[in-house]
Amino acid sequence: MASSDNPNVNISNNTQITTIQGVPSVTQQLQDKSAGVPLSDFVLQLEDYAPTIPDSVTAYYLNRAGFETSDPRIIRLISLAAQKFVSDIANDALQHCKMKASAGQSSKKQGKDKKFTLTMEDLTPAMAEYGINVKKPCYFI
Amino acid sequence: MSLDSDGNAVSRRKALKVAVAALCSEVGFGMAEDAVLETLTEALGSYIVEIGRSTRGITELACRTDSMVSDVVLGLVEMGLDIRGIPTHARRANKTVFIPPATSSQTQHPRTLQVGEKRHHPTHIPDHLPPFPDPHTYIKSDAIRQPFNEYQLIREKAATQKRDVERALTRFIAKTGETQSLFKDDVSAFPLIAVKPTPLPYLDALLPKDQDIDSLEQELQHRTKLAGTSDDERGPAGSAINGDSARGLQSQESADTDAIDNPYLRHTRMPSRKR
Repeated sequence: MASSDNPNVNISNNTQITTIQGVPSVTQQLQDKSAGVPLSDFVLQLEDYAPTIPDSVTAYYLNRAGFETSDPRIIRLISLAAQKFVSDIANDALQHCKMKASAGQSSKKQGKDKKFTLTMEDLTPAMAEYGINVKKPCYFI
Repeated sequence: MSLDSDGNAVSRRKALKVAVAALCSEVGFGMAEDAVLETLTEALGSYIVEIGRSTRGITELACRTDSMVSDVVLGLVEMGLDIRGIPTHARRANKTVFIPPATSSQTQHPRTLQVGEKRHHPTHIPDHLPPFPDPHTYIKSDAIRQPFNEYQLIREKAATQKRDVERALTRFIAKTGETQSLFKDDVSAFPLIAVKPTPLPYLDALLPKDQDIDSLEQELQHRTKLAGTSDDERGPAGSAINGDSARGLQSQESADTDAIDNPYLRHTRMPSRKR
């Protein structure tokens, strides 16, 4: 591992990272405990893990994009990332829903509505934070 | 983005929708609008495709063909996902896993016009190619079947044929001619062909029959017509007295009358010439 702090040139034998100007060198990254390294360790644990999205479904969608791999752990990593994406949006929508519910109801009543319903009004601002603008017509001609 | 006409895509989309619903229920929602689920399903499908596309691009940019974890990580970072949360998300307590439905083979619609079994591919042809057509379309077999040479079979065949012929003939005569019955009550149970008594029964036993039965019968009819009913007795006696030569003449006559009766054996008639 190269120990110099030269941001331009980096020679490493283990990892295949090409550095760009301005990006810290490998040692700095290692010292920062970048997410790449623990993630690669985590991937090794993925062999027995079954994400919510089945492997075949994820593989089908990846094949449509031209992505083919023989390693199932990469597929599971991708499906986990996609799951996290959806689960983050759902969490934000839940926060919106709870805010509206707590603003509407007083504490004397049941408190929280145990069953939250995910509606478009909660989803739209949650998705807008992620850059997805959803506009659904309220009626169909 | 997804082709709704494609069966594969539809089934994958359904599985994706189920996964989205499972994730939403994990987060804490009890119910969700259908439009919301559809939106999230579409977003999820597009997200996966985008990850695949960008990962592939990064891999090929590095002059590789096999993708690695680092390519996926770079792709995710480029899309703005916080990858530190992935292990945390993976270790969540209430994760739901569902077994994807087993791929069911397409129901083979019964081929109504199929004749015989289709043959399998020989070993040099891979299995994913279309199957062979019905064997009768390309296999030629002889139309002539080899006759049975086994003695037992032939004997059996001859016996059954003989029995069938006898039965058929006796039935036919019983139904068209006069019948006598064995039982008093049931007339039609076992019909027997009625016996026609001949006037001089002992003659048939004494005299040899070495001529056509047809000609004898015809001669009888001929004689009875000429001589009338009174000469019934003399008919067969007359035929018995006459010698073989006369018999031969009579047979010839009857043969001639036979020929004349048959329109195809008549003598040709030349058209009358008028000059």
